[in-house]
Amino acid sequence: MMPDASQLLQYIVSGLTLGSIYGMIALGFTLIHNATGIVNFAQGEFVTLGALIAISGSEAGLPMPLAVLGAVAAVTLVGAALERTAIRPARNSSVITLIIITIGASILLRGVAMWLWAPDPLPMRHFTGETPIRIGDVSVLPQHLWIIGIVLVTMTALRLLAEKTQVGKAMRACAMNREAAQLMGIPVERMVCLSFALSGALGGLAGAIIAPLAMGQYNMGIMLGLKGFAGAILGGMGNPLGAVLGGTLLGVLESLGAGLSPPGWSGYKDAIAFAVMLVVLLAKPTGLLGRRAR
Amino acid sequence: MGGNVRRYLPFLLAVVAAAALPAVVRSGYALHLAAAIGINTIVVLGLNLLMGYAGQVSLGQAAFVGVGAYTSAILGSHLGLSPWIGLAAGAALGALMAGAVGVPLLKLRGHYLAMGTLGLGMIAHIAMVQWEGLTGGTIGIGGIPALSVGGFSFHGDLRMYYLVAAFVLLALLMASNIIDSRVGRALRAVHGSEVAAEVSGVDTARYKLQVFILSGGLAGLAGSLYAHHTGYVNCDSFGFAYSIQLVVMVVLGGMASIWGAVLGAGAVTLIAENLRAFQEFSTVIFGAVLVLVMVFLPAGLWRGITEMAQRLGLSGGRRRSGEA
Amino acid sequence: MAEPTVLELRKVTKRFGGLVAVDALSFTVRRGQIKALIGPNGAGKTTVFNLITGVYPLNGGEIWAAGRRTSGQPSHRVAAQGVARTFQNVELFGNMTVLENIMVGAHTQARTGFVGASFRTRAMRLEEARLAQRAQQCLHLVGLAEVEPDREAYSLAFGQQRLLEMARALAAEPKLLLLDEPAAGLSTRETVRLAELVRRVRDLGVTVLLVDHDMDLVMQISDEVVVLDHGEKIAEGTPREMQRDPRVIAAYLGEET
Repeated sequence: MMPDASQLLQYIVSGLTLGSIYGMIALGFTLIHNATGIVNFAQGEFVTLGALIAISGSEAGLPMPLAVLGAVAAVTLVGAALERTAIRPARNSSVITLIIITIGASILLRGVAMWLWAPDPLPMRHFTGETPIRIGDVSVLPQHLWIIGIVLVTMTALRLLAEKTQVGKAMRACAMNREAAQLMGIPVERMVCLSFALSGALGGLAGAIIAPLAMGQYNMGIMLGLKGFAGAILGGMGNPLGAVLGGTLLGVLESLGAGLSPPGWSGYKDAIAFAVMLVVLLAKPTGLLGRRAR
Repeated sequence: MGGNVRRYLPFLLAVVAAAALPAVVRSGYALHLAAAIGINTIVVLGLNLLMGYAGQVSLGQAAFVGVGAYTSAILGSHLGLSPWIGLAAGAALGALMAGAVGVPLLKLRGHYLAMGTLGLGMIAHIAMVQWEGLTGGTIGIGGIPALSVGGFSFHGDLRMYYLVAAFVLLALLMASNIIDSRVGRALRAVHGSEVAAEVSGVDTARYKLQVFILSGGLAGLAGSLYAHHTGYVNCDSFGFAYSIQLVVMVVLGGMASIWGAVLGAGAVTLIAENLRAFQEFSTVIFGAVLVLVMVFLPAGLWRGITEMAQRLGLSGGRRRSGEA
Repeated sequence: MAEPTVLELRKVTKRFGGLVAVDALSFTVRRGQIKALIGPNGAGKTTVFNLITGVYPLNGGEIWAAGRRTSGQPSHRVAAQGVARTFQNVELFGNMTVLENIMVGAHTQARTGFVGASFRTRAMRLEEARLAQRAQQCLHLVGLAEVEPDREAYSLAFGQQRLLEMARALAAEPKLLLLDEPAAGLSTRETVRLAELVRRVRDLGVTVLLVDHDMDLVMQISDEVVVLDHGEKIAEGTPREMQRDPRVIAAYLGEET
């Protein structure tokens, strides 16, 4: 019953894979939250669309890199469009109203996904085949490595963007103090749109790279989005590094929880993310890397 | 004396309309649908008080409905107890559960409260699916007895419709009374300015909890009615989708109005039912309608309609803010 | 029966992180007084109000109001002891009418709960009538008699909003009324009417503690003045004495840059 070290390691590896996806999704939440103060309930749908578009692109014969990039580009546009059409007109509304708007947007996008791709799950080709790779005692799929690798590269790129480029610094300024940024001449509205676009890109990428393992389905975004949010809360809402770490940690916890749970209880694994989120919200709402709670 | 007429007239009209409906609408299916609308209305009323008046969010209300439904199912089907006990127990357990989770949860604000209730709703649903010994898992529980008084059983579309309608009207009356009272003002004060409410002597934490408990009790009651109406419960009915649907009903109808609750429940239930054949479209339309209403008519459809009526000179007299 | 001291601050201290906003502040307000709390910007005046009404917890010292220890109590309990306040930026209930706003002020004077409200008991109806009547009285008292009670609160002119907030504060027949910059944004004529109103309120038995920057108003109506600077009390006495106090002058001059 007690797992051995290699099994434990196996759980951790798959947990890291899943967690890095959660981390990217969590980062998407954080970007929008930092720019606007709202929680984007449609974040999960960015993931769904990324997966489904990548699948279609791949089916249509596009080479994998193009299919993935195309999906990312498409969902980036969706994110920006969402901000323009649904968020900006209502930017002065109450918290409840904005929450409902993003919920409505998520329902809309989910419906579009169901309509264009049919409700059944769709498979996607693994990037470089499905032959497991042995690293010591652990057996890893190539796709696992792709996921972790792509996420690491993306995070590094974003870090550089945030710290070295003008745009990145402008976004950080907006997040820290919107009025001051505005007074300094930073086009805040454009930064908001950019944050939505970037969140779309992150979500879309997450969907495209997880699709070979999870399959693409119109409702895959619900759980992934919620768990990504849980990760953001765990790491500290508002803290980008926290989001990634929180999401990753959540993935590992979920994987360990599912693997180590007594027989018959593994169905509860989905509850782990929510239980963790509740504990954090109630005990230390600012999360592990606690920053100011908005 | 005139004030009393003005206060109770809408209810009298509602009673007449509810009583006459079956004569106008002959089909059993339509009455079944009307009962479903009624059951949803009861949940939405509680949610309306919570969200529209007290300004709190709940994205997990389906959990309380489920608690009521399963309580009635287990007590009625497994233990063979009287359905009325199931009804009372369903409402009580819904209220109790709301009280238990409300104490820690209501310390949260805004988005955090929303996510907290969502997380709780998800956990409750997962438990409903997984705890097969109690809930029958995805198979559910069947053979739930119908409510009956003496030998008269509330079985069949017509009788159940009338029973549900009676409960709905009572719930509407209660909600209306609460709103137009010291309690209603306190709730609205909490929503308007929490700090000013506290400083005026309103125990905001206690009121938030109490209205949350009330919403849980109403949801539990509705769940029980649902169980005795359909005779069968299954966890699919009490998931995230239903919680969101309920919020849509509240928001669409109008958050600061109890008649908005009826409107919202009716509109959403009917749309969902009619578009069941075109499930993808119903979802797209739902989403689009929701976004459009929130952007252009954030006060909801009821307010939108009444304002338009006023502008066209159709309704006389001033509109008292916050009144149904 | 009523205590001679309506408010007492004993070495009250409040820190925000490393910043000491209020430093071992002590003063009393006697029953029937109109006392003013003044000082340059950032002296900590509104913080003191927030401490008295339980909005912030104290870091040190005690506050006693109407004969009971109120420090450490939540705001609604402090209000129930007979302490009422208005806010610097008017905090009305925008989702309610003029009359309803005032009726909320009298929340502690009634007892109807969910049960009584749901069933509209006779006791509840009598109470409602009493509350509505009380609210009307307060409306008249502050000079808003001509205003339609069913208007939405924020539809009033700013000066009227301030008066409405005062009516709400008076609805509970408080022993102590805290006025936070009541004259801010008012015209000269409105300020004169405000002064009359404050005196009338005092004559009705309410003790007043006010914060304001309008020195004319403060000097005119206050019996005593407490001067704060950087969270510390630097002087206390009659308005006349404060005008001649070199420490007070220095504090204010230091502000004029």
